[in-house]
Amino acid sequence: MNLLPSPSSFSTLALALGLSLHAQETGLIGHWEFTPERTQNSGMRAVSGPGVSFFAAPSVLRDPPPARIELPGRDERIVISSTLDKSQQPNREMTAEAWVRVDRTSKWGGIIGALQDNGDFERGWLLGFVDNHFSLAIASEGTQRLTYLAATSTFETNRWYHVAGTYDGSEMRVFVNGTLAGSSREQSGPILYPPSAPFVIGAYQDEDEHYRLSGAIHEVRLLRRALAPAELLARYQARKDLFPEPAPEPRFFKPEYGPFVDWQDRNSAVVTWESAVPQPTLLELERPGIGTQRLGDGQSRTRHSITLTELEPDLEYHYRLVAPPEGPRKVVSRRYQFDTSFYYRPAPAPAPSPAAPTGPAARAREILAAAGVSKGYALLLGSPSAALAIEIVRHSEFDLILVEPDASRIPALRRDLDAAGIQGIRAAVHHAASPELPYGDLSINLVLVEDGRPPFISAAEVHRLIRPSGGAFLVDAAQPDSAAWTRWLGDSPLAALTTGKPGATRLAFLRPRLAGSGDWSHQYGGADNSACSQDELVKGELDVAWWGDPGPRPMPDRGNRNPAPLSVNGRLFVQGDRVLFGLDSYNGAILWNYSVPEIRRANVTRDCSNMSAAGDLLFIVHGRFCLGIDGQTGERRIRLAVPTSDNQLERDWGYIAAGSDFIVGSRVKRDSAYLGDDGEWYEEYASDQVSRVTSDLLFAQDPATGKVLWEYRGGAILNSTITQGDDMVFFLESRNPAAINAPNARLDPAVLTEQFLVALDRKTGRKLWEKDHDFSSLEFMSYLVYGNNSVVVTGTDRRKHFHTFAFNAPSSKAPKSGGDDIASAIGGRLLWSETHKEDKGHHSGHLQHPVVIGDTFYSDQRSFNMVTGELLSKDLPERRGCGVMSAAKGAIFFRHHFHGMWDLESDKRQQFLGIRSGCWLSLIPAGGFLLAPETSAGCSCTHAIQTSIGYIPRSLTARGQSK
Amino acid sequence: MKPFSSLLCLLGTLASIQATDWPTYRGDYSRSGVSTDPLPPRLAEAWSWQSIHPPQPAWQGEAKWDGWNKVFNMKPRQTFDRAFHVAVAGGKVFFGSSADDQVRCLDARSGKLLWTFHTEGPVRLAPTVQNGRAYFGSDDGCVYCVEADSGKLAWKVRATPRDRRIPGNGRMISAWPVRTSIVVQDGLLYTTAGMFPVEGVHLVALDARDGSEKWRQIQNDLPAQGYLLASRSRLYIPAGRDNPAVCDIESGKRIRVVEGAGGTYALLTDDMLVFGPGKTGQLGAVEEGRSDQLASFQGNHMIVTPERSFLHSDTELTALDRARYLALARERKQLGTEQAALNKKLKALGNKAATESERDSLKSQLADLGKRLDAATQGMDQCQLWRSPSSWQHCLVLAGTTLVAGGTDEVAALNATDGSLAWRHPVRGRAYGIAASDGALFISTDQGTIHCLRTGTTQASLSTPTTASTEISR
Repeated sequence: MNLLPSPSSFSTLALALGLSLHAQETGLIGHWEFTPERTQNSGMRAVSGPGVSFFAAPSVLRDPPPARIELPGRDERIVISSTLDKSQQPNREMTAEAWVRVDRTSKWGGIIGALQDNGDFERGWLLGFVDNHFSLAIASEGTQRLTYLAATSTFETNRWYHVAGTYDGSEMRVFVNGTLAGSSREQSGPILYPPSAPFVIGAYQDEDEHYRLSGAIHEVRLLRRALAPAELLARYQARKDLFPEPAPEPRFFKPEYGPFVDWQDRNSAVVTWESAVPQPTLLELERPGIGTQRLGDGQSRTRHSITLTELEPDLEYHYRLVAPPEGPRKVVSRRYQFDTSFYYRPAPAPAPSPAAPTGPAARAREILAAAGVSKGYALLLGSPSAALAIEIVRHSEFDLILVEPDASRIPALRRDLDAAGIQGIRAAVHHAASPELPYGDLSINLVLVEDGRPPFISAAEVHRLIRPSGGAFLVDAAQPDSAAWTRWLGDSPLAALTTGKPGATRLAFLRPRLAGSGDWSHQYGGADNSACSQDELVKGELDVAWWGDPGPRPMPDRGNRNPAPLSVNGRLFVQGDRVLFGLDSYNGAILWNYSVPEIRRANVTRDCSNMSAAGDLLFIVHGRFCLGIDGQTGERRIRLAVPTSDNQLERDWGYIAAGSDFIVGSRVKRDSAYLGDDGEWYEEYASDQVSRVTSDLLFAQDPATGKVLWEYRGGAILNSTITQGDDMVFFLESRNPAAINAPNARLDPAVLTEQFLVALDRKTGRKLWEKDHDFSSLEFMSYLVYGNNSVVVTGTDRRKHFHTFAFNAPSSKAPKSGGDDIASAIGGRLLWSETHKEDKGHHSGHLQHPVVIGDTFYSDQRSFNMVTGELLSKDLPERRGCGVMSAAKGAIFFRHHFHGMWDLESDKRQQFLGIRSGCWLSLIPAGGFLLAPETSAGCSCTHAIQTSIGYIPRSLTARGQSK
Repeated sequence: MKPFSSLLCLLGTLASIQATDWPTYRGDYSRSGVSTDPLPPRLAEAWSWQSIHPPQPAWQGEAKWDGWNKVFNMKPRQTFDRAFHVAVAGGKVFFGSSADDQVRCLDARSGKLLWTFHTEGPVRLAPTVQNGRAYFGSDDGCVYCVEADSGKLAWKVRATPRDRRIPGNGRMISAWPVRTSIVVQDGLLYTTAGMFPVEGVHLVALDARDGSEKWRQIQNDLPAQGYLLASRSRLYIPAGRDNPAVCDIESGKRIRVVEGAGGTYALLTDDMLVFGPGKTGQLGAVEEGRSDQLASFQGNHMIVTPERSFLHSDTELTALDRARYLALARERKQLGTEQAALNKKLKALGNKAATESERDSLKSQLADLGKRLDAATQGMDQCQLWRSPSSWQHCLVLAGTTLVAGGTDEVAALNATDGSLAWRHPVRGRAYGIAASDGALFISTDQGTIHCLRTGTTQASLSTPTTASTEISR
C-alpha cells in the first residue's frame, strides 16, 4: 500500500513548499530552497538551518518555474559559512540531496559540501559531479583520504535532476532521480573534517581550488542520517513533474563580422556587428543590478550598430545578439562580455573651444596638425603658456609637461591649469633649470617650443628625448630667428629640421627609426620562426624605460600558450582576453583598445598565432576574415576574406604572415582553433592538448586589393610549422587520410605518419621540392624554423626526448646545391639530426621553441651550428619558468623566476626581479627596446609587480653613452 | 599626537580617553585603525569635499581568474591609493591627490580649504603630520615637509641620487617614486623610493628637521609600495603584491621577509604583523621574530584591541576572544609541527614488517595528535564572540566602542560589544578610507569625495538599526 500522495495531487503543494514538509524531520541540518521570497540583503533565509550569503549577485527567479537560483558559473557564489562549524556538519551518517540543473560540465563540480583536497591532505565531503557524472566525495577516519564515488550514469546538461548522496558510516551511495547509481565501501567511521573549509552551495571550493557550478539549483537539504533508497525514490517521484523538460536548444547565431565594442567616452560605447543576411538582429544587454535591456530598431539589415549609454565604470557587462527565432527555437549568439574598467583614454578636458580662426585653440590645432602626433607625452618649452597648454590638451590625448626654468612663473601656470581642470591628470608644470632634463631617453612624442626662440636646453638634449619612428620636434614661430636656430642646432641630428609642410612657417623635425633596431612582426619574431627580431641594439645593461597598463586584468590566463605580442614601427600590439591594444613602444602610452569577443586563440604551440604586423598595419584573424588595423588609431581599415573558390564555406582564416606588399594565409575548418577558456596549460600528452591544428589551403593575397595571388592545396598543413624565408614557404603536411579528413581539422598524435616537408615559391605558390621523412617522433609538437639556407624541424616525443632534423633549403635566388637524390639536389636533403632527453626537466621544458641567431640554433639547454649540427654548448641559462626564449642579435630573453636575460657578448645571465612573464613568448626585443607586456595574469604567486613594461638598453641612453 | 598604537592606552578596555588626532593613515604606525575618541550617538554630514577627478590608482587590480587553480575574483593586493586617505591633526584634515598632484589642508570643522601644495607627480598616500609639520612623498621621487598651518615648504629632498623621470602608470614620474608612506619617529623620517629592484629600491632615514640623510639601504629584490609600519625597533615595508620585509629601524638593514600570500594591507599588533589579503581575502599573522605564519584568517581587514580582534570579510564582521584564540593558535601550530615530524618518521619507516610495532606506536601518537588538533581547531572556532553580516567590505575602523565599516555608497556603524548595527549613512562611491578624530569621521571614497560626519550640525540624524548580529553561544 502506497501511503504517499500521487505525484499529481502532491505537485502543486510541493512546489510551493519545497521539501519543507519534512523540515522538522530527524537529523535535518539545513534546508535551502531558492525562492525570491526568501532572499534578504545579499543572501537568503533557509527553510531550516543557517542562512546563506550570496556573492556577485546571482539571480533568484520564480518564473518560469521552478523557483531557482541561476549560477552562470562566473563568480556567483552561495556561502553557508566561510569557516567550518562542525555543529553544522554531519558526523557519522549523512544525506545530501538537491534538485539541480547543470548547464556546463567541468572536471570537478560542487552542489553542496565542505572539503579540503590538497595533495595528501584530504578532508570533508561533497555532493557534486565529475565531468558528467554526479558524485559523492567523503573522507572518513577509516581512510583519511577522499573517495570520489561517481554515478555510473551520465547526466545531460540543461536538464533538472534529483541527486542525493548518502553515507551510513560504512557505505557511500549516490542516487540520481531516486535510483541508486553507485556505491562504495571504501570509507568507514566518522567523517573527517579539516580545521577550516568553506561550507558552500554550488561550488567545489577548497583552499586552492574553486570550480563554480554553471547551472541552477532549486533546493538543497542536508541531514545527519542516511536516507533509505525508498525514501529517496519517493522524494523524487513526488516532485519530478515540477521540473520541466529542457527547452529546445537555442540555435547558435554567429555574427558574420564582429561584434566590436568601440569606446565613445567613459560612459558609452558602440557595438557593431554584421549578419550574413539582412535581418533585424537585436542586442540583449545585461545591466548589473538592473536587468536585461533589448536594444535595436527592428530594421532588417546586415550591418548593425547599437550605442550603449549610461555605462557604469569598472563593471563587467554581458550581452547577446539575438536573431529572429526559428519556430520555437531562439536564435542567439554566445554570451559576450566587455568590461568598462578597460577604458584607458586620458581624463577629459573641458570641451574644445569653438573653431576660431585665431587664438590659442586655432594655434593648438595647427601645431598638432603640423606635428602629426597627438598621443603619448609632450613637452612644452619656451616660456610655456597655460592658454596654449590647455588648448593642446583639449585637442589631443597628450600628457603634457610644461617645462619652466623660472620658478616665479610656476604658481600662476598651475593655478590656470587647475582652473581648467587639467592640473596633474593631463598637464603638469615641472621646474627645470638644468640643461639636462630629467626625462627618459626616447620617451617623448612631441617637443614643442612655444616662443620660437631656441630653448635653454641643447639640440642634443632635445634629440635625446624624442621617440624614434615618428616623434616630433616643433618650433611654433611664424618667423623664427634663423641665425639663432642655426647656432643652436649646430651639428646635432636636429639640424635636419625642416618646415613641417609646404608653405608652413613652423620648423619641424620627425625622428626616423633607430638604425639597427628590429621588428617583432610575427609570433616567433619574423616569418622565419627564428624567435629573433634581428635587433642589434637590445643588449648589455637594461634600465626600466616605462611601465603601466595593460595590467593583468584584461589579459588571458598566463598558462594558455597565448599569441605573442608584436612590435613594428615603434608600436606594440597586445592581445588581451578578447581585448586588443595598440601601445607606443617607447613610452607605453595606450593608443587604442577595444573589445573583440570573437578574436581569441590559444595553444599556439599546436597552432599558429592569429596576428602579424607590417608597416603601419596590424593584421589579425577574425573568423573567416583577416583584418588590417591601423596601428596608430586602431581603425579597422582592411577586411580580407579567406578564399573559398572551392566552395568550402565552413572555413576560418588560420595562419597569417604579413609582408610589405603581400600576406600569406591559410584556411582551417571552422572553430578548429584552441581557445584556452578553461585554464588549460596544454602541457600533458593528451589528444585534446597536443593535436595540431591543420589547414587545407595555403594562399597569398595582395592586402591592398584582396586579390588572391596563389593557392596551394595538398594535405593537412600543420599550422605550427608554416615558415617563410628568402621568398620560400616551408611547412609540414600530412597526407594521411585520417588527418586530412579529421572533423576538427586537428592532427591527432595517433596519426603522425605520412608527413612531408614541403617548400613553395612564396611569389608564385609553385612547389619547389618536398621531402618524405618520418616525423612521427614529434609527438608533443612540431616546429619549423628557417635560416642559413636550411630548415630545421624539431619536437619531442612522449618520453620528452627532443628530435631535431635539419634539411638543406637553398635559396631560390642561389645556385642549386648538389645532393644524393633528385629531391635533395633542389632541397630537402637531411643535413643533420639530433636526439636528446630534454634538459630543462620541468615547467614545459619539453615544449621549448628554438631560437636562431646567425648560424646558431638554440634549443632546450643546447646550442648547435645550424648548418652542421655541431653541438656548441649545453649550458643555456637555467629557466624555471614555463615560457620560451626570444632573442635579439646580442641577447636571449626568457622567463626564469622573473624576466630573464642572457647577454651573449658578456655571457651575463640576469633576472629583473619582481616581474614574471607568461607561459609562452612575451618578452620581445624590438625597436631597440625590450618590451614585456603583462602576461602573468592569474598567477597565484606573489610576484610583486604585474605590469606591462619596457626596458631600454643603457647603451641607448645618455647615461650609457657618457661612459 | 599619538603615532604609536592607541591600543597601548586602552589598558584592556574599549572605554574612551581624551580626544586624539589621527595624524597618519589608520591613526598610527601600527595602522591600527583605532581611535579612543568615542563617537557621539548621532552623526550627520557636516561637509564634504569633492575632487574634480577621482583618484587615479596606480594599479587596476588582479586578473579575472587564476585559470590553473580555478580561483575567481582574486583580491587586489595593492589598494593603498584607491581613495584620498586623510590625516587629521590640530583641527585640520590633510590629504594628497593622485589626480592633480597636490596636497590639501582643510579645516576639519568647516571643510574650508586652508592651503594647497603642488608636487610634480601623483601623491598616492596620506601625509603624516607631526610637530606642526606635514610630511609626504610623491611619485615625482621627492619627500616634502611643509608647515601644517600654512602649507609653506620647509624642505624638500629627492629620495634617490638621480632625477630620472619616465612614463609610469600613465604619468611622467620618477623612476623611483615614493610609493610608501612617511614614518617620523624620534626625530627621524623613514620612507622608501623605487619600485623596480633592477633600478634599486631605496630605504632612507632623513633628519625630520631638514631632510638631511642619516642612512640609506638599497633593496635589489623587492619593491616598496604601501603604508610603512613601525615599532620602536622595526620598520615593516609592504612590497606590493609580495610579502612585507622587516628591517631594523636603527640601520635599515633587512632582517627578514615574512611568509604569506602578499598584499599591502598590514597591521602591527604588539607581538605580530597581520597582513594580506592574498589572492582570496586571507590575512596571515606572523609573530615578531619569525617569518612563518602563526595563523591565517579569512578576511580582508582586522582591528585588534587587547581583548578582542575584529575580523572583517566581504560578508561578515566577527569578534574574536583574542587572547584565547592566539593561545589556541600557538598550540595548534605546535601540534602541527609535531604531527609533521611524526609523519616524517612514519614515512621513513616504510612498510617493513620489522617496523610494524614502531609504526603502530607512531600511528597511535598521530591519532592522539589529530584529536588534540581537532580540539584546538574547535576551540578556535568557539573563540567567536559574535558574528554580524556585513556588506560594508572596503575598510574598518574602531572609534571608541563603535566599529565603522566602509561599503559601496554607504558606511555603517556597529556596536563593538555585540555587533549590532547602530546606523548607516550614504556616501559617494566605495568608502576605502575612514579616519576618526575628535568625535568626527572622515570618509574617503573612490570617487574623490571626502565626507565629514560629526555631531552638532543641523542636518537630519542617521538611520537607526535594522538588523542584529548573531551572538555565539558556547
